[in-house]
Amino acid sequence: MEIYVHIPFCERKCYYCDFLSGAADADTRQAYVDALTKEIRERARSFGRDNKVTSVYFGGGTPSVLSAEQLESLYSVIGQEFNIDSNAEITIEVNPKSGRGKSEALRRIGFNRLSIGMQSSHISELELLGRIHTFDDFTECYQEARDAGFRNINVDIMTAVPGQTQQMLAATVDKVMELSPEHISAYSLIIEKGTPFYERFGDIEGPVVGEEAERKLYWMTVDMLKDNGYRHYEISNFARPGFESRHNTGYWKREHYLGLGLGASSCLADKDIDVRTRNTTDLAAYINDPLAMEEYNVLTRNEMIEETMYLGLRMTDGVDTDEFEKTFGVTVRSLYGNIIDDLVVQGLVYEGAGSLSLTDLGIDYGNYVFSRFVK
Amino acid sequence: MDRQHIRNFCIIAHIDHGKSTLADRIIEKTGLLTQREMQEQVLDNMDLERERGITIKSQAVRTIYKARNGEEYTFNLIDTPGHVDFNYEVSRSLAACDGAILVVDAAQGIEAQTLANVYLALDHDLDVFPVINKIDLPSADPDRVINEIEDVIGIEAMDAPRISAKMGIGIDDVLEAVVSRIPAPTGDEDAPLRALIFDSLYDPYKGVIVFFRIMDGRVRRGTKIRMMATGATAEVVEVGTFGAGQFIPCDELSAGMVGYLTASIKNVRDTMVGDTITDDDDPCPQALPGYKKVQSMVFCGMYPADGARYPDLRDALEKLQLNDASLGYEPETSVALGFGFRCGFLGLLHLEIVEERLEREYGLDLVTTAPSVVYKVYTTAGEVIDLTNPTNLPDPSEIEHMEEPVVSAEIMVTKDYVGPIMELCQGRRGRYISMEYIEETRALLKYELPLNEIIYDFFDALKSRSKGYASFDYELKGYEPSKLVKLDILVNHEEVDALSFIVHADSAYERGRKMCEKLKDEIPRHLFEIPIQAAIGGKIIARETVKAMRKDVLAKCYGGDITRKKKLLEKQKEGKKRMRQIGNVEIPQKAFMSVLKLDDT
Repeated sequence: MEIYVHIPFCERKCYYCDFLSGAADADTRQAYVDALTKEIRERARSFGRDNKVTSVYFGGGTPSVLSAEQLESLYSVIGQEFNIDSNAEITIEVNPKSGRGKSEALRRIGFNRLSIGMQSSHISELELLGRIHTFDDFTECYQEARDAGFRNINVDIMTAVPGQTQQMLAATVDKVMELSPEHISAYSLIIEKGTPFYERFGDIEGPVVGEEAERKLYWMTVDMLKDNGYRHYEISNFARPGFESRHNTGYWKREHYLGLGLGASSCLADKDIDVRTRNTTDLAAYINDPLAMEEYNVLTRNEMIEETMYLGLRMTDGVDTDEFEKTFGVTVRSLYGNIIDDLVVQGLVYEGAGSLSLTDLGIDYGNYVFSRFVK
Repeated sequence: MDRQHIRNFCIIAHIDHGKSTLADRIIEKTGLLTQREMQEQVLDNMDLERERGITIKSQAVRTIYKARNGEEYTFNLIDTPGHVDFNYEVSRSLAACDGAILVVDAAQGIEAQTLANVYLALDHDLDVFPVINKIDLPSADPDRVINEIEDVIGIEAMDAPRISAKMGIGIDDVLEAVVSRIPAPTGDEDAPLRALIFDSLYDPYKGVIVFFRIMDGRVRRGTKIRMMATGATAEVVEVGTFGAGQFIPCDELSAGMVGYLTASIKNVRDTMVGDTITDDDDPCPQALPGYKKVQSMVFCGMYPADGARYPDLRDALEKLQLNDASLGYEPETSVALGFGFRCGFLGLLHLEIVEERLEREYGLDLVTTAPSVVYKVYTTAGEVIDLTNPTNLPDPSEIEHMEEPVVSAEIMVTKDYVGPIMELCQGRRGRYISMEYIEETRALLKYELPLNEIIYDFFDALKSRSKGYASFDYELKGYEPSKLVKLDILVNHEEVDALSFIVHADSAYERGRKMCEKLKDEIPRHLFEIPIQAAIGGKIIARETVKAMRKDVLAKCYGGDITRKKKLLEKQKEGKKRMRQIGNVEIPQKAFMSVLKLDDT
């Protein structure tokens, strides 16, 4: 099982961000930490000690806006209440600015993986995105983390930023590669409803930079990173061999996870069937009752199958069809034979021995391919 | 049962004037069913008929009526369809009857099909008496309608029963009128058997069931019968009469009676509607006059979506034809669609009904091509070709000229809408013949119209332009020379034969353009761009493009996202359209009927 802990605070919301997060005062933050502590203890009761936790992930928001003491307190409660595997991946997301000066403390608390939200090496892009940090903030944060002993660092970069040229993106990628992080996530910007970007760029079909340009930027990034020894293991994720994010891979392989905190989602087993739940997204309601739920969906077997397909196809290794058969007692072919044949003819998927994966063209038309596996 | 106490009759009316409701009341009143057992519209027992609220097939039912004079009468009531497409069915029913009840709506009065059906009944020498229905409506004006019947049709209507079939008012008067105004059947029980087949159907348990009216003689279980036209012989297994929705076996049927029989009939084709049944051991010297072989007016291609089901489609058509003699079909092949049949129909409604019956009753998934009328092609070699499939049009250099079918149409309309209706007819290349006022506020318009201008959506256009106050009937007049061209459709540069259609040269450009627009909306995006072109004789006259599918992939999909992102994928998923692969393009099956919807703006 995996554990996700949501910290819904940041110093200032970025213009493109539609995550559940915002600025808050110190009292609210402390009240939240207290509520979260309560939730951890309550939820832990339904899990026995033999339920091993293989990954813990503090995400946000910006978890690094909490003090080292608050983070330490939260993590130690998790450690008391759950059986955390000694090899577990323990990740925390940090902002290059608020993360500075915390690396040693984070190491001491027990975090062994750091995910730094860099996004770009260009100040113009950082400002456009509404980031609060500079590229220098990032390099210092990064160096500090290395000095503190972090041997597994992820750096986020953003592609398809309005106005981004191939040269600009190449410069960003180059600069990141110079530092040689173990893991790089490269996300194409999506204009989400309810963000300042949506107001600014409007409800357009497809990326602001244009459909073809977005794809060019994407493939240029893929090529550069692959040439430098990164494995392209998921649509937007790259890693040195052995450093693939275990936590996120868990999502794509449909492992069970417990989400803790405001608006956190969980996917847990109820006998043979899985249940997806979501905590309340109302901060006051959460502080008042941290067990308040907003969604509770019992999946059907068919939904579990569909998820296995479209999440599995995100990974370049694809869906493990042997594993699929073991889990569901039927072959992928018996359910999707016609669709697969169709997609193979169109050059969108590749059927290997024991796997089904997207081709490069299939990545470009990913949503179409995924939708074919949804009823 | 002596013949003096039998009444064989039918009910005729314009659509929606309440024919089926009256039939229900008659059945209810004569005590064959209790009120609780009555389903709405007992006679309309095909699912389709009930859903659409119309009668497609003729149905027969036998009831017993105890009249005011204290005597019991056997009523054989045959329900008839009201839609102009099904005049042929009406004519078959009439042949089995001795009289007809004419139902006229007390508010609407005489409509186009009232006239058409009355003339049809008079042609069959039936005694017709009128009934004024729907007197409960606030707008009912029975006196006006009675005058109209006397003036326009010329039959006596002064003492016509004034009823409301819906409310059950005046039904007894109708029943008494059936006894007094419809003659008992004539015929000689002791003469050799002569019976007219007016319908038949295929039952999975009993095999072929033949519906007939005996003119002379008698028939019973064991009688060896012969179909005079086909020459087929068979031994009767069962004879009987019609209950409501069921068959009631009996020992013997004799002259004047209406009933059914089952026999050891091997081939469904052996029992042609209109044929005469006689006794093989004691045949009658001469067959009864059969029906005129019906002319199919509209043709289209029908193909199984799954080519492997071609034999199933053939069997289904064969069985359906037994029940629907006006359906014609012959095998054809299409480059785009494979093996199928070119089917002939009375009209577009008939086509739709057959299509639906094939899909529902026989579980077939069909691709249907655009309907076409029959054109006459005069070649330079002096031949005349009846063209039912546009694909078979010879090369233009071999065509001397072409002719298209023209109908004589009668449209009855209230005077406020005369203008819009004339405009409509003009727009459909109509030729004005005459207009007369049958009363102060209503006119009878006569036009000659090309059939291909009215088969698609003329009814709908008529209805919308007259707010429902126009009625329409037509009959084939003949063929006239016309400037016609074949419009071809190219999808991704490949000509799709099943999409070709014949069109008048003056509207070719407009129709080609609309067809391309329509197909652009129907064909889903592919990975590549798809040009859609309309061409006449190789010359492109219109083009549209189906844009390539958007390159689009969710950049992020993590724990919290999954439920929400799935909704996005569900939205993206094309509705479960049934597709047909043409070259490397998938075309939705219903796109082949696109030409039908070119005018709905």
